[in-house]
Amino acid sequence: MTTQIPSDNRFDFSQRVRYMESFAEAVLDLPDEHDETISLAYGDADPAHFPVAALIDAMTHMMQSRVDETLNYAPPDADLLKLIHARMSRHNVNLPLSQYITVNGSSQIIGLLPQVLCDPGDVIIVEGPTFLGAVETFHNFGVRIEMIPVRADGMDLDMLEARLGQLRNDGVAVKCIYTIPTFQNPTGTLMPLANRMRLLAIAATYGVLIVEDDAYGDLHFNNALPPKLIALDTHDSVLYVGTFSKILAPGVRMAWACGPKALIQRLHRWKAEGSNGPFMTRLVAHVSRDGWLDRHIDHLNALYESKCAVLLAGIRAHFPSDIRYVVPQGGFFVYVHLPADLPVAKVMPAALARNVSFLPGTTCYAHGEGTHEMRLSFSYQSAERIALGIERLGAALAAVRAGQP
Amino acid sequence: MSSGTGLSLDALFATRAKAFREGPDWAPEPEGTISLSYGFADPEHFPVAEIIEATAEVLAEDVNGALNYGPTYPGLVRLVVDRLKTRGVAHAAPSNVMISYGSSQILALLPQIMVDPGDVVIVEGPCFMGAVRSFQEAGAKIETVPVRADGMDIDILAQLLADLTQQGIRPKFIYTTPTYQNPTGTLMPLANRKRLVALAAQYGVLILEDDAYGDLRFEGEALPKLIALDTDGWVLNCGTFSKILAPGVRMAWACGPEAIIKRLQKFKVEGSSGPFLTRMVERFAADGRLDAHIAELNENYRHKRDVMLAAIARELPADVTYTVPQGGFFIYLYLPADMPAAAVLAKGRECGVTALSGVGCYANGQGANEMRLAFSYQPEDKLVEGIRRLGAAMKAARSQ
Repeated sequence: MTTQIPSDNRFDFSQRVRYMESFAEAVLDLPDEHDETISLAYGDADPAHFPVAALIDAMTHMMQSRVDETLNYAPPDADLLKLIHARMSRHNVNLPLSQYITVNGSSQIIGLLPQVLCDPGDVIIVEGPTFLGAVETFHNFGVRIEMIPVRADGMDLDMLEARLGQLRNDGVAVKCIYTIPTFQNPTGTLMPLANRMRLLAIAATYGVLIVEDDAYGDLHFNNALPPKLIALDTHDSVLYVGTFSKILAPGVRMAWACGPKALIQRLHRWKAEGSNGPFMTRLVAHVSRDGWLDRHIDHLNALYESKCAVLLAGIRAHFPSDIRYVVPQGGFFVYVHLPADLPVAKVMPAALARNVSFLPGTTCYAHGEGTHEMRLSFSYQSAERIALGIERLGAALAAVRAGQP
Repeated sequence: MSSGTGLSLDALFATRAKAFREGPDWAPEPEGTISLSYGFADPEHFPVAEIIEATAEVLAEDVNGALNYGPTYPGLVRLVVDRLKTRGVAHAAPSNVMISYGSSQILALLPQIMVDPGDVVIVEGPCFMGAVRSFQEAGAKIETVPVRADGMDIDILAQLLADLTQQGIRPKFIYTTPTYQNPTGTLMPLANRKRLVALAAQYGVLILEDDAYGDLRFEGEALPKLIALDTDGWVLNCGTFSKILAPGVRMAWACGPEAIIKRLQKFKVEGSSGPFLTRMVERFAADGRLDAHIAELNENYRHKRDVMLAAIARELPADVTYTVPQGGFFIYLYLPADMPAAAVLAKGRECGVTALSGVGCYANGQGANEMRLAFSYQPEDKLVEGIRRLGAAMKAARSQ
């Protein structure tokens, strides 16, 4: 579904505005939830596990120690950058501090990419399915989106290579490949080391930037993760994006990127408000200090692993046997492929009627694919409500199949 | 598989982002120097306890709302709307107000939606150059209208608008700080405000009203904001919590024509301004706490202005003239011909004092014999000592 911003002839807007408004805006077809709905749709954090006491303690402490640097105009985010830099070093990422930027949520990086990279007609390659916010943002800034299918081991690299070849032959400028290699949103898949190496080689061959969205990189249920793309990169061709949303709280809106110097400089330049303010960056740095963040991540991983197990057990107990899904080793989501007689267009009303909802696969694609796919999130709801929600969803699937929704 | 030739980033950048100019560095000042350069807030008057309290309350009452994904807190938008209405902006409404990360975000987003390279933007001379730099980065051609003792010279503006129209040029917007202007501290009188708004409507030019200092009134009658006088929708008003709460929280707002607000919001690519931060600021400001804090700040800043004015009268050469602001953060000096600011500031560094050269406040290279002094940041004794050192520097520069 799309909509149009009403045009306005009173003000003489820039050509960019007029170009963007020549396209219809994306409007996501999201489930119509109400108070009684058990929503399994969104990747919100578990509100029962926000570190309230630690945040208040950190704020009190930082205000007592260096109030002027916290509340005045100040060289902004040194404390936080150092913390992020140290954490990235543990993953063998050895870029200097000058090649880092903190931003107001990783959605800010996603929104800045078209500003910095794309002229009209330029292409960004994404995974299909992918993070719905990225699809929406790229679309609304007039970027041409090309989607490469996701398999059980992440992006299909044969198809990527073939598509890049076609686009090059067509004379189309591909600016970047946006990928979530670790616990992909929405599929939960993990790209293995060999594929990571190959993706880097393909990007180098075609001279395309890789944007590695690593929102879920710390949320793993075992400790054997392949290296990050940026740690494997020898061509200075990866922009890495990390966030505190999943490991601390989405509401603090704090994320970071690191990568090629010229790109980081331009992200700084196009980030309209300047650096992230000292108040929020110092708060996040302060609460994370002395190993607190690592302990909190361990706690979250135990929590999310147990809730993921509840969701999977529910699927096994209540869903028909001809569905397909990848058992995730981390992240927030289980992605379910439904058989031909269970399109989400029919399942969603049956689910909402039973007070449960999910994210329809169609919102995770640019061009209406995903009609038989659903994303289920185990991050937000309690274990009890996940179990109840999946039971209701199982009933909805059975009813649709029986022709009695 | 080919190992590839690597990445040519220059080939990947959008046309608009290919050129890149390094910004000015944040130069730390030497130990012992008294800086009168920057419009920082007074660190003695940050509402520390109230911020901690507001945080605790917000987290206790709605932890999911504050810490999960979510929009800018609608309560903060309502608070801003109510404050604008109280100050005569009858048409303020949630649909024409947006919250931003500092007013610098609005000042940089507006040129993105309005300006193509070569378009004309009109600014005051002198003015806040942080804003002008973001207009220039969008490719704006800057026209400067001088600031008099009563703010922007409206006669010259009227002439400029007529001349541009004659040439078939429609300026994209007029950037003005009518209330306690940065850097001059001047206040535009009501008659000029009315004329300015009428000119904007006559020529169909947007006014960007930077209202950063609007609440910092030490004395005199409160004049209506330009947006309060605007009946035709040609004013975008920008306000900020930087001066009345704390710059470090990076929280500001804009109010104006919906067509502008809607597009600014779209170009604010990160969406909200943070559920936690917007709730905390709203909670701090609610129930009259903000107004009480503003009253305390005005008491404090008025006193510091008086201290600086007294020191100027005592310590600076008699032929240095200066503005006497009724609010805001700054006093602006006009130096005699034999006392260029560059020479004074060079001597000043030797004497242990810094200020902002007037040249740094103009888009057109003027201001060689002008300088801005901030009375906002330094404590009373440092203000006195800083002006004493500046007086010594002026005498030394003159005798050279």
